[in-house]
Amino acid sequence: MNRFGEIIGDDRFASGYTTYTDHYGGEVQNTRIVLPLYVGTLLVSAVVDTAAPWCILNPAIVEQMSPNSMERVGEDRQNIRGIKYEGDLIRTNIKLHADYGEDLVIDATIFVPILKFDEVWNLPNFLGLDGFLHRLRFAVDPQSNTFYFGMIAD
Amino acid sequence: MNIWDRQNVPFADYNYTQKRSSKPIPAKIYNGGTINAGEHLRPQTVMIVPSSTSTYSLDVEQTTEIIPNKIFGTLLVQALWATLEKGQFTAEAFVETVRLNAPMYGQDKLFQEAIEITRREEPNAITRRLVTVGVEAYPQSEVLMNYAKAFAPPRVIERQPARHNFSKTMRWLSAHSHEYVGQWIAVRDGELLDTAASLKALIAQLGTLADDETVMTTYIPTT
Repeated sequence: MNRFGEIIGDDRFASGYTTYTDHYGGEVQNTRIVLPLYVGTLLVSAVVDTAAPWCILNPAIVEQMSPNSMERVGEDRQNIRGIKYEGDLIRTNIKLHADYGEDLVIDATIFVPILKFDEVWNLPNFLGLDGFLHRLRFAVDPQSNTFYFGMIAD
Repeated sequence: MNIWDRQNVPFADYNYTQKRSSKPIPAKIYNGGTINAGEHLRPQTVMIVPSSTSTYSLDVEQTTEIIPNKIFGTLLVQALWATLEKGQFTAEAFVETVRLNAPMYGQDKLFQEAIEITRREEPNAITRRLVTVGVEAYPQSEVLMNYAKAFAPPRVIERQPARHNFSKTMRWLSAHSHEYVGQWIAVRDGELLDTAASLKALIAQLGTLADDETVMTTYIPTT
């Protein structure tokens, strides 16, 4: 499958590209953009959600992170798929993985839902537009499931 | 400072509206119910409106007339917000009005009230602007500094040459993730390594493989 490597590089549209998953989890009929990324030392997946104000992470992932790698910066309430969650806002680094080109390490604010004692987080991780992709240039090639991305200069 | 003395209001270039009321008046709370202004009624209430704002709404004036002092800040920003939503107030005027009135209504607390409303109602753009202006006005405010950290835009802090290719793993997820709904799975190079009911259990099962940065450990959601 053709990958547009010529758009990758300094002063070009993107700095890297990665392969995304387009069908994910229980709703096989839905098409999504699921990206690989590092949170702390863990390689995980997250759904691009342009309606989400923050990135949202499964609390179990955050439990595995070193406390030194994040800072709690507040709290928030989010309506996620029709359910209201209270949660912490943490500031941490997320590395957007590139198959080709450059990985980007991004300092971002993450919403981490606080679950009840016996509650399980059965939703994916989300990459929000405003809280994460906001400072990235990106494009999607659905023919090859390729997600191109690059930083926007300040 | 006598805030009713225009000479002492540090924004001499701005018009302001002064309303007086000596008796309780039912007041509409935006986004809420109705209250009766009583013992906490403030007989004089001033709200400063940016001089550039020619279209501020009567809602604001009426509200300023009747609001008990201790909740005025909340209602002021609610009224402003309602006015903004009706298109009678620009976002910039909203932020500026909060800034101008903050010295009279709890300093940084008026910013906190405004931030709490905008963050619930709106994408982060207005909230970010409020935080920026609030921190400029009250740099000593710990609360506003925390807002500043939370609402700081994402920023790329490092670029690293790509070292791995996860295309096989991502394609495997497209083809097979629905078979593992509700489970944590570990996948490497397009091959399923293990599954577990929790991330903690999965990491324990993986042993030293858990430290392999090419192993994806992820939860397969039901929706």
